[in-house]
Amino acid sequence: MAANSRRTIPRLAVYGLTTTVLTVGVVASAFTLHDHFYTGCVLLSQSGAAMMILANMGLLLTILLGKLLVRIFLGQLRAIEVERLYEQSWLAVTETCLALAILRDEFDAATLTLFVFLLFCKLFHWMLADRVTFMEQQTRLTVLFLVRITALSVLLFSVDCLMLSYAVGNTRRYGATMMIVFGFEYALLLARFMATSAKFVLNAIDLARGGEWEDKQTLVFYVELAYDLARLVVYLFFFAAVMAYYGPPIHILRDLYITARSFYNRCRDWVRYRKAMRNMHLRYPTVSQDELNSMSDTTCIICRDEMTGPSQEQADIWNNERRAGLAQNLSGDTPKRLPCSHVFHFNCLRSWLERQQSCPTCRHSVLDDTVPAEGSRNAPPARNPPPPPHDLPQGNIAATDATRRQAEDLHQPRNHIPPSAMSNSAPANNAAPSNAVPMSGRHSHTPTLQCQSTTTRLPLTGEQGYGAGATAMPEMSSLMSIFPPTATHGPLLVRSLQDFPAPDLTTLSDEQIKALESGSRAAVEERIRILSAFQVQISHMVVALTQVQSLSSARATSTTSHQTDSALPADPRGASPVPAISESNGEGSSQQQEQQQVKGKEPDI
Amino acid sequence: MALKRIQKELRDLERDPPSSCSAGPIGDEVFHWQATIIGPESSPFSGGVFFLSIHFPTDYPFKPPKVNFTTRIYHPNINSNGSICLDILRDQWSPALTISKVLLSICSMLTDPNPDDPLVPEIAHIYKTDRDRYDTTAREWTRKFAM
Repeated sequence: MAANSRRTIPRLAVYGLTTTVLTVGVVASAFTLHDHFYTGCVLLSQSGAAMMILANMGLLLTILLGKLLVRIFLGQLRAIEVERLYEQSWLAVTETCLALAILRDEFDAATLTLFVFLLFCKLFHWMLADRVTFMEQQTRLTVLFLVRITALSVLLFSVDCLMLSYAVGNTRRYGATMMIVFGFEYALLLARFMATSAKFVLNAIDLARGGEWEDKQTLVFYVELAYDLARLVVYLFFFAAVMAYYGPPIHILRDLYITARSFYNRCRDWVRYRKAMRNMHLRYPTVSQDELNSMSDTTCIICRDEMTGPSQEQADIWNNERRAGLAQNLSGDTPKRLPCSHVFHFNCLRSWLERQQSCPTCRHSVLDDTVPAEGSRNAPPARNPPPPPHDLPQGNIAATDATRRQAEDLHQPRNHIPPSAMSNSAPANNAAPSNAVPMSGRHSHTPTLQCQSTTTRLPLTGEQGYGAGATAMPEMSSLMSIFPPTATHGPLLVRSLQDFPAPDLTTLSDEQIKALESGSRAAVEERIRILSAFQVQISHMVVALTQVQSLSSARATSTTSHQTDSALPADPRGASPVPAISESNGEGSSQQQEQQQVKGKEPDI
Repeated sequence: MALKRIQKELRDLERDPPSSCSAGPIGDEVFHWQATIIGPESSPFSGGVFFLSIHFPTDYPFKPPKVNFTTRIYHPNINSNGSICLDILRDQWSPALTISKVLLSICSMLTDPNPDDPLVPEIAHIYKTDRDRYDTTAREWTRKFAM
């Protein structure tokens, strides 16, 4: 690069010297031929060659002025800045040529001058933007840098405003001329300037705070979003205007396309980022120091710093807030665990999720919902006792407990129903077929499958069913009022019978029955499963009957019990958590987590 | 953030340098590095020393570094400007990657080019149809430009 600049300076000197000599020659010859100043000028303006030389001189002066301004406001340009300027200038020149082709009817020296001036302004806008970006690489700011950038900003701002108002005034007075093109160009430059200065302010604040400002990235993102939107609007207006007066403006097609795509991508990223952040607050557990101590590697792979976690108590508080659907007031270096069990700093993760919504280590998407919200990983084991599936009486008690717990959960005040919690139905949904794969080959009505498919509805009904039951369905609400809260799970058990249909053995083919009769382990297990499905049926029936009996004797009204039978099955959503299902939910999630862990280990990069 | 992370990577590189490559900042510009890769033994580039320039973006490690060969090289995935067609330098970037991992990936790309996603289709075609010619040309270029 140094060699490059050494080469360019003599080239510029040669060019400058030639131009100056030519200009002096032309002017001198004109005035020696004609004594009067006026006639000399006429001669100059009528000769094409003389005009070319003078225009060339103008260009040289512009370049020199540019160099001077760069020296004053920016100092020495860095190699990469020069490189980028060349790159962008070529594009700008190409586009200018295209624009001139459209405006060929009005093309004259004035237009050319305006275009050169526009390019001149653009170059300075680019340099300013580059400098502002460069601020992020610095550790501290000098007063000189601040003064220079501020002065340049004020200068550019006034030029933009001046040119824009001139273009608007001109268009108002004379109707649509090629000034409309310049008006839009300056409007775009103004938008760019606004974005750049906003970033400048943000960077300055960040540096003043020692480079640790956590919200900066988010604000920068919003600035860019606003800039893209502004650009898109200006471009669309521009496009329409030029289309109406001149025909298709091919010179902005590239920019229009790039802007539209960038805006679209940014909006999409924004939506995804919001979703990821919501997940972060509601689903990803905070990792305490104790848990960190048990890990082999506690480096945050994003910033390569060691992570230090909060105390177990604090982590519990946060995790409880998270479960309750509240946003937690986390500090930036709090470790967070993704569903794939990789741990990162909260802030590092947030900055990454702004750009891509996947785990940095294993690329597992953080947006897909294949992992349940309440990872049973961090839940205390006592909360979710996994009863053996064949041990029915115990299973029922545990399940009833689970039901009550969930019902209590529903009574807890909630700010809003987190949409992420609603989408939790998806995980089980996705997992069900994979869990059922070994079974479905033989026959589909296996209890395991039933449990799994019931799970799919569970979180949804858990979140929605209560509210809906209280308002939308009179039968339900009347039931709720009749049955005291402790008996809420009574009717639910009746409902649960719908979820445990007996395996339909009549549909089995001869081969399947033969396979069932064989002495292999799989066949024996299958038989046990079918039997336990019937056992589930029977015991549910018994429990339900007992409840109905006790209630009807207490109420002594046959109508109520009749209502119970008729109203409940008719309601597809009325069911709240069903026993045994929360167990299978737990099972399912732990299986999924195993899958996740296996998945997480694979692509170790 | 970017500055700290780059300095950490530099320290790691100094403490535990990879076998066939090296990297470090040019002068005191922390965001601009130069790297060298020694042509892998099992490739036609063996014996060559290839220079690369690395530009870190200001939001590193959330954006990939810009890595370019400054030494000319005959390879289906590297063009005459030194641009490298490697997914981890584009959309498959992840903050878990480091410069040393990127350089190792480039090393393995030298041994095993990916002619199905070429940057220079002519070289990819030769690589697929006439491996001997590819090896010969690659060796010749290595001798000419990288020794």
